[in-house]
Amino acid sequence: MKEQIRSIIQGSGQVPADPSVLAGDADLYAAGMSSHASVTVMLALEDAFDVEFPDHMLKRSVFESIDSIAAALEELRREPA
Amino acid sequence: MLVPVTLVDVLFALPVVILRLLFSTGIGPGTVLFYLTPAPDGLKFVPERVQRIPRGWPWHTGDVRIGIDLVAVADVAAAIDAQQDRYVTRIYTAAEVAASTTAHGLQARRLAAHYAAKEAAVKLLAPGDEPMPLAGIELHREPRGADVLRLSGAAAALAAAAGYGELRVSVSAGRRYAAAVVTGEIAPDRRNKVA
Repeated sequence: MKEQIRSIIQGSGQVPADPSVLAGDADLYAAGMSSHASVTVMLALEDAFDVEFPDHMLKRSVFESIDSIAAALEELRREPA
Repeated sequence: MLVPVTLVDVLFALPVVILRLLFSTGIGPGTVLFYLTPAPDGLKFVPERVQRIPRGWPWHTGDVRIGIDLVAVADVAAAIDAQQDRYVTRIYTAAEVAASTTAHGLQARRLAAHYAAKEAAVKLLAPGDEPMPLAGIELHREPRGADVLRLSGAAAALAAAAGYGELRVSVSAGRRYAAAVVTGEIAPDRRNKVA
């Protein structure tokens, strides 16, 4: 899952640092991801993983690292449809 | 904690209060003020620590917060191209989309101005790790720069909880970037009570 997340972030082209070499817990905002970029990454993640981030998950801590994104996606997958 | 007072206490304290009113000195965030409050067994002085100076007081200086955001028009254009329907419907209101649409279609430059205003407002409303209520922040661009922010849902609730009055916005959109500044003033009755 984390490799797929890296690929999506890389594909968005909106994080200046190379996501393929970022640590799982590296701060994506510190790596140059803007707030607007986090929105487009979120939409791309929803497409790729067939989930929808609820409003309460649309916060900085969810999208600040590859690890936190993976944890949120796992949580969404566990929730009943 | 309640402090019982007598008339003598009040008379002795009054000159100090008058001096402070006249010269507006020594009172600011952190100052403990004692409010004369009716109680069943007489008047009591109730202490409160001043967090923000109430509007209308002689030494009121306001408690103004500022949020700013800069968005690249190209980033908004790329998002429209990649995920137009979901990107637009998740982030923008119908009125914002209509205001950003011309005979040539949805204009990234106009939409970028709306996004910048939303993010600038988020910096006031959700400064920590609160959910970002982007869709509940709506920018109305009026002629001659009189732009207005309208809040609804979670955004309005956050503004009310923080004690903001009206948020004011200024937006500028050029060929490459859109920028917005939002200011808000904390309402006058947001003092923290001393436990």
